[in-house]
Amino acid sequence: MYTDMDPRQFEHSVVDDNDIHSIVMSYLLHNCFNETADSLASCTGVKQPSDDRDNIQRRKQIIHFVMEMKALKAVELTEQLAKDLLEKNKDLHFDLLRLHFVELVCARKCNEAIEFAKTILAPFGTVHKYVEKLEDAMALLAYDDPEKSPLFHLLSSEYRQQVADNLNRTILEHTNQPSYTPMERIIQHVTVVRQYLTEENGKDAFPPFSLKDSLKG
Amino acid sequence: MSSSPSPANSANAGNGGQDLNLLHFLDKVRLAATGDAEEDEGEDSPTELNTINSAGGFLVVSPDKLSVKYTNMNLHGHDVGVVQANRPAPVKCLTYYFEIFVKDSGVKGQVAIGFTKESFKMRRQPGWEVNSCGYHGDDGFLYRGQGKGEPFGPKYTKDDTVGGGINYATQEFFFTKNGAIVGKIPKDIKGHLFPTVAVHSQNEEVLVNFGKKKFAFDITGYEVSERNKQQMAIEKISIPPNIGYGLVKTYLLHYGYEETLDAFNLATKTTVPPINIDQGNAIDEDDSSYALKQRKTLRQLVRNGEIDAAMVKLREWYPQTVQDDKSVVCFLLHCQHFIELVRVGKLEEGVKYGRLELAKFVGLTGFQDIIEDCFALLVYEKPEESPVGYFLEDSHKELVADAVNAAILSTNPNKRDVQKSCHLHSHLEKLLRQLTVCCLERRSLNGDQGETFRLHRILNNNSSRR
Repeated sequence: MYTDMDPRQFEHSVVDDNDIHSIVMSYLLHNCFNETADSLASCTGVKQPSDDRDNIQRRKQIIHFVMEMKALKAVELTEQLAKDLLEKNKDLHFDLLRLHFVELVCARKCNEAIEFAKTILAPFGTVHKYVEKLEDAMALLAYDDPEKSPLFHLLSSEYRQQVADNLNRTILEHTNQPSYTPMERIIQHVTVVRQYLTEENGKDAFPPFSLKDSLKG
Repeated sequence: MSSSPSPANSANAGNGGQDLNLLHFLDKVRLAATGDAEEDEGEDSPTELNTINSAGGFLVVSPDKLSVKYTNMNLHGHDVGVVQANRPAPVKCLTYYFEIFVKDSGVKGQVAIGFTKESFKMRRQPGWEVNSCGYHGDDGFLYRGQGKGEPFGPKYTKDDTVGGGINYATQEFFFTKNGAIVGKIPKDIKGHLFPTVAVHSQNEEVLVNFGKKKFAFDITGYEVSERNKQQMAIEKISIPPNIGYGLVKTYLLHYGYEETLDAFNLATKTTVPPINIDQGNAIDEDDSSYALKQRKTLRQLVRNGEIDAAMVKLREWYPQTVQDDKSVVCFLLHCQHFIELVRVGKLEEGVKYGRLELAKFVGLTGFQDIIEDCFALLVYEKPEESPVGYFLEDSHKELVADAVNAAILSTNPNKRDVQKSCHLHSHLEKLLRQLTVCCLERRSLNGDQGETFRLHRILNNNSSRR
């Protein structure tokens, strides 16, 4: 009876520890955990890749500004880091600016918010997808407590995390670095291969893949 | 999910049974010995035409075995001048490809290119019999075992270069003409296939290129674009948020890297807000923090070469891992002590120690080869530069520390039965092993054809394309 993994094959599979360490290291550097990366390097004796420390520091600051509801600051630093990055990534630019609008609404600075929307966000409105997004954001103004609006997710930290991730990856791509970590690629790869095995062999032989289940125990 | 549950041998019952799962660390030592020599699949490629198994009476092959000419009269359908390559196409790669150049299309231009099995009737066109396929120049049809054939591509004739290939990833045949893809069809034939060329009317002559000369078709570019297709399918998969966080945290807990864990916890706390682990992907952390301080202490001792002290502590805190001095952990620690003596040049003392402590492992399968390699260190002037120099590297110390770490984790009384082997690997490592195993399984479903899975392709070839 086939269990999640055929034990015979499993036993023969030996993974090089250096690969594991380097996967973790690349995750840490991608997400700007530079002190953790330093500590890991001295713990494992694994050398850190000669990554651009300046780039990491700046990305770190930029991401933090997004998370701390200082989207304009993030935009400013991004433009300093890479002049034409936001120009070339209008969707991202719009999302960041819209975040600032949300920040103003949350701070109850409604007049400022409207002013900002008129002068900065409206010009994007020539493109349809931005119109929708703009209208979503504007709807927040209608509520005394924006948290109670159907668009409350725009205020959430999860949404900010999403935008921050997007910004992080865009900066990495712009500076010719991989925008996805090997760890993510591995997760994707396992998922694809397992899907293939289930499709080709049926659910009895290969139960549908659950990352969570495969990571238990 | 765990690997094979070890029936009676559980280290935490203190029943004297060897924790066989820890033998895994001996495999890791061996892995270091072989270095990262990329596994050479050792397949030979076709290089020339096979003059022995060919339609001898109907054709003549040139002395260099790279061209063939029809010499018969073409009276019927069973006097085809067909010839195969000297070897079948290799299968443990992404594609196989070869080309022909039609030097002379003779009276009727009935040239063909394709693939056949070893048992093919050497008087028929490829594709006229089952388990063969052929792209024919006179009608541009593709034949694959049903006398009739189907419209496939353009006809081809004198001065045309035509190629035939197999794509193992998609399990298809593909054909080209003058550098451009003509088309592809599913490959239903299993097993080894021979590149095949055929001529059937007077004066037909064909040259064959098995790769010695540059191909008209950009096969390399084709492989790149095929790999990209696979890559794009992978990149479409959405990644659960914050899964990386869980994997890294459990990795740090698993290995006992306490300082790094503290740094990581601090850093993730200050992301505003603290990282929100999606419940659906909660990784079971609790058991990983078991005996964190002790594991860290032992790791330090091993790293500093203080093996005696490490053994004392281990005996004191976790006697069940040391048992009667016959466990894998003991073996690795004794080896390490020996190595440390060699490192500082105390060879005599090393030999004494080795005789005393390592001798008892000789004769036990699984240990002997490593003992022999260890002792080989004594022979060299500069052991660190020798083929067994890896024993002296920091990475080997880490390996021993990892084994001690795993042994301690195995004593966790809270571990549920099904997790008996979970102390061996961090979740991240399990994920990697799952990936390797699944890729092997996928390849075996393809009749063991196609490229080997190489983790480093993912680790290194991480394009910046999103």
